[in-house]
Amino acid sequence: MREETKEKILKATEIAKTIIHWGFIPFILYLGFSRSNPKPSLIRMISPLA
Amino acid sequence: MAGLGEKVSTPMITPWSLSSIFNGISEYRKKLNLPNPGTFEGLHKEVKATFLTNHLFDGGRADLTKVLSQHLQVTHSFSMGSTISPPMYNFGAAFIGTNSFLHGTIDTEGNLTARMNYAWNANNVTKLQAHISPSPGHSMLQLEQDYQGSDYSINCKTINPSPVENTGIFILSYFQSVTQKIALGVENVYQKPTPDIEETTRSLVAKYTGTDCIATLQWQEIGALQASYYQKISEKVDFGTELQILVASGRREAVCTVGGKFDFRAATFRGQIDTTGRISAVIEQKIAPGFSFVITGDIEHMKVSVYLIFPSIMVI
Repeated sequence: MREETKEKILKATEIAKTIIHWGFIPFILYLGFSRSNPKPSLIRMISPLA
Repeated sequence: MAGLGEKVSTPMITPWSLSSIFNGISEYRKKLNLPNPGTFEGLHKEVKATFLTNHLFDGGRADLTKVLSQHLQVTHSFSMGSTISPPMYNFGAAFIGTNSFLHGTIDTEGNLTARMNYAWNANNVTKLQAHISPSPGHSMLQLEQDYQGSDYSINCKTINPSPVENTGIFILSYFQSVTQKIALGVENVYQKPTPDIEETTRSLVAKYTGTDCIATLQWQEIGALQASYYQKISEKVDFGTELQILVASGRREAVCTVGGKFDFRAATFRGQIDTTGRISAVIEQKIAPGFSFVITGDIEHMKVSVYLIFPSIMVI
């Protein structure tokens, strides 16, 4: 494998990792929210007290 | 649509063809009507359930689970006052779909654990697990394909595969029922920590399932033997025994552990003793629904310095 492609793949993995790191939980919440009927209130989804 | 009716299936199978032999074998297998042996990973599951490996903790803990709808569930867990780990808040979210299951937790230090399962059908499940940590070198990725046949289970797993650096761990396991009660399995682990080092280890297992007992034996090529026995004494009492022997690279070690689990009307007691002189016990008293009081104790007699008894309150 060429050095350039290697670097490109490593960089892409790094970006994908960052996206998953911060986007995975919001993604689950979005999936659950969009599929739910009736829709739960946003505050109940995030706050432990509500 | 007249053509469809005219279609006549002509059997092309000669008695010697491969497919007829294969069909014959599968017919014979169907006749035996063997049960599924369970997963390779879950070999020691019953014994481990009587032990208190996952139940020992100190300090206060509160777990709050909120079911927001039939597809969405969130958990908040707080822990503090522990002598081992710093105070921690952990947020978890789970999505339960018809074929898919997604679960993620993130803590105050930014560690994310992600789990994704997708069931192609009742027997075939793809699993993805990732652990992403802000500190470098602690991240992990695991891909898994699990297939459960009528009388066998196949599992393919890869941990941290990196085609760029040509490294990774690859695990392949096969578990087959031989008779109604006995199942045999083999697992191959191929490790490539660096491009130059290659390592293959194999382990063989046998499992006997009785009416209310399970005995397992696992032998690893590197020189480790693990035997376990699980016995259900009554509806509320379970006992498990485990023997681990390690004979590798000049080390000769053996540990035997006995554990018991007792379920009462409003309490669960787990006790465990092993040959290193470690005695531990956990009692969980349910005071109200979702609110329990837990006392854990752990004494290592050989190392007198370690002596822990912790009362804690758990809100679930």
